[in-house]
Amino acid sequence: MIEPGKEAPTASAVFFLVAGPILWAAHLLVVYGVQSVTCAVGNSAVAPSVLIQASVVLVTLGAILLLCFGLFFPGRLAHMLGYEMPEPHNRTFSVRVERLLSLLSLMGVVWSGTSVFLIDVCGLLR
Amino acid sequence: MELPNPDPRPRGEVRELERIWATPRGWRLVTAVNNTVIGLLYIGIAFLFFLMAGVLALIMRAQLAVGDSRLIDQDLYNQMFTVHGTTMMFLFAVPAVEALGVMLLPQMLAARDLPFPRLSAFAIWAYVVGGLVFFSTIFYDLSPKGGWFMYPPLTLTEFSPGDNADFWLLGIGFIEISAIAGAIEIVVGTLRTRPPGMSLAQMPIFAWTMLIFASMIMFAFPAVILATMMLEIERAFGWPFFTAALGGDPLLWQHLFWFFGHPEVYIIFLPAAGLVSMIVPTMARTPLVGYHLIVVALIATGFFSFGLWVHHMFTTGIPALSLAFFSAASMAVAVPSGIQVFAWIATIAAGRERFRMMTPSLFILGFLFIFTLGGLTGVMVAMVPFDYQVHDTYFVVAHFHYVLVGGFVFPLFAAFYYWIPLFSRRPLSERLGRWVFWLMFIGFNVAFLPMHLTGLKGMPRRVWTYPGDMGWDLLNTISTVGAFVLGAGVLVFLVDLIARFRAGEPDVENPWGAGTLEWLPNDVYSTRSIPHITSREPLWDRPSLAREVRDGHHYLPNAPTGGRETIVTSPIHARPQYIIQMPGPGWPPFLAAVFTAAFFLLLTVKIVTVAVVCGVLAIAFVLIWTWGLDPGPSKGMIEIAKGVRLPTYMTGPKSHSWWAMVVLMIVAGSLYFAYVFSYLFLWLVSPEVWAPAGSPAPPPAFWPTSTAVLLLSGSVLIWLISRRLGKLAVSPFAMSAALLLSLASLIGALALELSGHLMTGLSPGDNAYGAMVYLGVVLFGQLAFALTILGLYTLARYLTGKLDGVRRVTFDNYMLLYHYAVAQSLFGLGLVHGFPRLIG
Repeated sequence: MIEPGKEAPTASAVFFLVAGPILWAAHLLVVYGVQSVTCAVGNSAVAPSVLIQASVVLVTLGAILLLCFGLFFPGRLAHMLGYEMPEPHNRTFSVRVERLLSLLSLMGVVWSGTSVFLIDVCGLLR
Repeated sequence: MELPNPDPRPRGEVRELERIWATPRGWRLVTAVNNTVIGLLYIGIAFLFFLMAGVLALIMRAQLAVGDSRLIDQDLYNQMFTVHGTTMMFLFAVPAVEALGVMLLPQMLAARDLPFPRLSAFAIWAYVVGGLVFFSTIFYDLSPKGGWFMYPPLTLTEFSPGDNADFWLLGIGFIEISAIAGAIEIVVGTLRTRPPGMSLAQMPIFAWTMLIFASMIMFAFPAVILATMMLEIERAFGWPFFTAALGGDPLLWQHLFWFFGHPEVYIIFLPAAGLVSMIVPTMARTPLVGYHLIVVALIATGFFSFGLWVHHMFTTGIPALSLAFFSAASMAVAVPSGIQVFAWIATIAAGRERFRMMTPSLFILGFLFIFTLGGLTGVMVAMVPFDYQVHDTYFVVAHFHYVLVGGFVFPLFAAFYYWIPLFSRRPLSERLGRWVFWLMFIGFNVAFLPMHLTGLKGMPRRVWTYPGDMGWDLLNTISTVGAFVLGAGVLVFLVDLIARFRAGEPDVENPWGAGTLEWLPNDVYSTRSIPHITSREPLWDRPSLAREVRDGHHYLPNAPTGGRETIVTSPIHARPQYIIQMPGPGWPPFLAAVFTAAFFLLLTVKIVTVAVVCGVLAIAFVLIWTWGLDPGPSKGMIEIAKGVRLPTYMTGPKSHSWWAMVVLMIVAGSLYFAYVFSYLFLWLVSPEVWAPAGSPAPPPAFWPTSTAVLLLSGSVLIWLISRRLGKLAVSPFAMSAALLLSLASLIGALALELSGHLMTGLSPGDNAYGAMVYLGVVLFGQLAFALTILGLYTLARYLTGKLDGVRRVTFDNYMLLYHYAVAQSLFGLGLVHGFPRLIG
């Protein structure tokens, strides 16, 4: 008789593999949300454009830092998420996928984040 | 590798497998649940919808062939383009993908079947009945006319009276639920019924794409289900979610619809890409180049596709910076798609032998050409200034047909030619196949390439006719000729299919010399034994595998429980965990599907009493069907290979049932997320009317606090029952009373929440704020209704001795959903009672 197979929690594996895209999604949600809310109801003492630009820059820098962490230290990220990868073949696969997804997400985050310097933050196109 | 079962197998095992997995004959065929049988039905009906929607397209093209045409009238034209788009997207593309998943996944994973065969059968029959009734509305002047996206305010009762729009809202909403049922099956099947050794790193790319496809359905479809609920409620009861004069906003529909609608494009494309990734290596006779990169591209595309929805709304007046965020995402998604295209080209180039130019290969090359062109115009319309110019013109029609026909229909036809030898005694004709391809390829490009120019010349979409002096005649005539050539290609395919397809054992095994598991010797029970996997192309790397599997030298070569069963493995490394016992043919899934469809369709035409009776019958048949499940651990441990014994029963987080409930909770969570978004969106667009002047204040804190106390008490009670279940010290009366009390807490909480709002005098029909508040109660009520049925069912099983501390799957499901309902409702209390106070 064998024991039913044991392995790392599936949620840990999923979060490790798609850490990059999750950060990308969180970044998009926050920058879109902050900009939409500030433009719609902004009545603070600070001008909306400054508030939005500062928020987007901060959030983008934060996302870049976290993505770089996932890109350069996948082992530590796996450990933090409780994802143990004992088998070399699966470890190689998981790390490659995690890093490449982080790289693609980094591109997406930078692409979105830089637009705040190019476009009027609350302006309409019509 | 040492064989799991090296010794010769006893005689009679195969005959026993054939008996257990036999397909019902005659009129009992509708009770079949085998994936090969219902999968064939599924793909057959999906293809029928493709043909019927294609005929509508040809009639529309005939109407548009020349200016000032009066072939059909405007009203019928409006119905036709709505039914064409709706059918192609909801009744053909998504079901065809799910059908391929149901048909091919068990074979590719060498599983005997997917884990919930009756759920598959239910989903398929619901789709068949609901879909056919929906399509038939075109014959009775009852079809919707608002386009496949049904934008309000055009689709509000004021501008779309009658039942036409309701057929879309209730019919399609119901078919989406069927798609979600299929998605649950595919997620759990892909992650839990892989053969031993097939870790995530060795999973076939098609299985990856189906996993991502089903996961995307879990997050995308709930948004449109909520939207259809809201629009139907507004049409039926006047709750003004989309009426601007009362604080609603038609743009909310667009947000919800496209949060589903854009991922829908990738929901369709990704599995097609998976088909291509399976066919290309076989035809190139070399492993897929860049397996890791393709997995990365699939996951990235799946994620990025959720960040693109606003690019359908560039011209709606959203602030420019918001558009820039989504424009960036729209262009970024081209990168992972490009990765896949380059990987396929590299695989074709890497083969040591020449790429075999058979019919499937032709369709793959056609796909590469057409889809790449569609992708390029996609990058063009992702740029806001360009999109402003071509929005709602024929340029967009050309773009999305290049993406969808190129990205899905061509790979699907490649798949037909490639995989039909798996299910038919004879393959399709290679000679006719080439005719089919060239007619379709030339016809498609003749039809749709000129539409780019028609659009750039300013012809708008969805016009019934146009003046003859606009300079659009020649381009439209060419498009119409192309459409009929394309139709001729499909007709030749149909002739070939009718002439040559005969379901049954194929004459030739593995005619393409492919390396993946679906080409192992197959029968109604799938493979004789379930192989141990050590590579991505096991048939190439272990030439003796087919013989070993046929001779029963791998896992589970027999039927030790005496019924239908397969191996459940761990989700990451595919280590054997237990044996799942699966139900066989039966009437309940079929009847439940028919009555569910009847419930929704009768509701559409306002025959409410009969609809309710059908709804009750549907629930009754679901309960009859599930009563026979959860067999308990009576079969003990069984040997699946020499020295390998597995349990035949599992509860808790390892069980497939637990997984299905978690997936369902994610779906429910997505739907609630869409509600929260809607609530905050309506506040954001009209903060000055949230709540409007004169609107009653939220109920005093006593009401939500009492509701929260009741909810938490119920959760604690469930936790206590879970700990005490099966303990001898607890009397059956106390256990039954506790179960009933947990239900009473939930229903009491619902009643308190509803009463609190009613007491303030807030009415859902007065303004959007009131409508959103009461929609929260409706969503809470839905969960309470489901839990009431599940709770009473759990109690019935307990009282009849079918539930105890070990045999507890039913209770676990009740417990999971209960805790989820409490969490959702507590969050809802914070939103509905806390948010107005916070901003007020």
